[in-house]
Amino acid sequence: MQLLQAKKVKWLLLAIAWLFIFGILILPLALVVMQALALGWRTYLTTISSLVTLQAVNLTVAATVISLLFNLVFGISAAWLLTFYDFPGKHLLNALIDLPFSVSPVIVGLIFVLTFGQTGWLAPLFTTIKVQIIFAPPAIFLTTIFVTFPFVARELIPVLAAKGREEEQTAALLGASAWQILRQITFPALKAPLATGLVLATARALGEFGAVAVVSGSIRGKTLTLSLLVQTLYNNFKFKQAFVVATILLGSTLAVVILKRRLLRE
Amino acid sequence: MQQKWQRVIPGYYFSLTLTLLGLGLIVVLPLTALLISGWQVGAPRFWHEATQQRVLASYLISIKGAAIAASVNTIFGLLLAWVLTQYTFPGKWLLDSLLDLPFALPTAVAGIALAYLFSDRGWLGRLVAPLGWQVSYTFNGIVVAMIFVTLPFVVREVQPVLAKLDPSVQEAAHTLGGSTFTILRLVVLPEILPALVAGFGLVFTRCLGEYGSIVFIAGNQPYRTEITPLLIMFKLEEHSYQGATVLALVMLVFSFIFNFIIHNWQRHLLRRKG
Repeated sequence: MQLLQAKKVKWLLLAIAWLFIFGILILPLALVVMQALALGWRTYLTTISSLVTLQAVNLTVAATVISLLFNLVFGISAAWLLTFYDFPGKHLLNALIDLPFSVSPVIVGLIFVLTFGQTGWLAPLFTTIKVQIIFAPPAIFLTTIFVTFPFVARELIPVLAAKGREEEQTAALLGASAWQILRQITFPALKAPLATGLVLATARALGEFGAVAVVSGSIRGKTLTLSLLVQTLYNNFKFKQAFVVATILLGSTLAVVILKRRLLRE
Repeated sequence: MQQKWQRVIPGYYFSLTLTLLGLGLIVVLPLTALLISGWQVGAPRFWHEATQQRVLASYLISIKGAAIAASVNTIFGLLLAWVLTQYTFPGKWLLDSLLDLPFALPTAVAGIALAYLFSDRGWLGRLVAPLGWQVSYTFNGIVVAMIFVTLPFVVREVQPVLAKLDPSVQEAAHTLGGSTFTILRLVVLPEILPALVAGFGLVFTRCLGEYGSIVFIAGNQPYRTEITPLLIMFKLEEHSYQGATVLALVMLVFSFIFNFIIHNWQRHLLRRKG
């Protein structure tokens, strides 16, 4: 093992590692910023504050908030159910929760089109109540929930399993209600993994592209998320503007990564 | 009365209802729609859609790209994990943090950045053009995008295992006269192999399904640079829902079989390790 601890070998391996990361990671990210600012600050600011961009920000934030709320409720309820009780079909349920991670984004879009689209399964129902799902914001919300589905549950389940159910059982025997147990015993133990799960879900929700691209129809000012706006601008050869909008997403990515590091250290 | 005791905590039916409702509406219902839609296609039509020349070409491109990207990232992932766990150097935290970015970066942003970077105007595109290499709008571009989005997978699988590696075992092997490569092969490799296999599997599956980062750089020419997810997208745009359904089912079944093999291989390795 002395060979690998030798100074020369160490520096060689380090050099390869940094060169690889520089080429494939640092350069593309630097390029986003440089291209965004290539036309100067003034253009940058007008693009970023244009109506289309702001509408895209609104829709993206709405989709993110909705999937976070869903994740919060579903994650806690799934972790509670899978840790505190034994019941038939528990393993199947556990496996189903992970399923959304292994489905390609485009297929996610497809299954929602097949369910809610014009020729879809539930089409008669939604036409009668006159609610449009596909090519409208609801489809964007649904697909975003799907792709972020397991994040919080995945973080909570192992932590809650490690904690065990003794405290909750004692509290229940002393006559505490489910809500009291959740608020006073379970929730405090779940704060850290909950925050991590929500942060990870935020990153995915903000940037989801493939699934949303299928169901949104990319209607300007109505169903364009930030990622779709980036695509629309880029495909219309408005490269610089595409990079300007991309900096919003890049900035939120950096914030998410820093936040996640902070949370994990605590 | 074992069962009753275990449900002493209140809220069983409430949490069961919420969980089943969420799972049913968001995951099970749409996936069932896919299965039903696939069933309605019928076997002869299914076979016809799944084996058209253009479709077969797309499987090959997707699988080949994913295999290359997974191999590259397994090698570099191992290298990065080694560097991050075995050495101390300035900027270590930066390297470690940078590796989180591809997980969190929106795929569309990665896509346009890579496409521009490797285009004729881009920094790297101009650099490699004299060598006769073309990346943007070729198969190479697909591989580059796949490598980018799955960069952290192997590192994050191997890193904790390498960090826990007991240096005294390596020292003992060294004292007994083992050369560096013998020790790496017989002492280190068996320890990290399950993590490497798991990482390879994660990268491969993600690459097969990846769409956002690839469409910008691939050029999307049928038979040459058209991945299967993109073909699904085209079928949808042409309102050929049957065609899209068939391709989606083929992809899903393929990745389930692949994951099953990887999972069992990893379990076998872990059991042998003891």
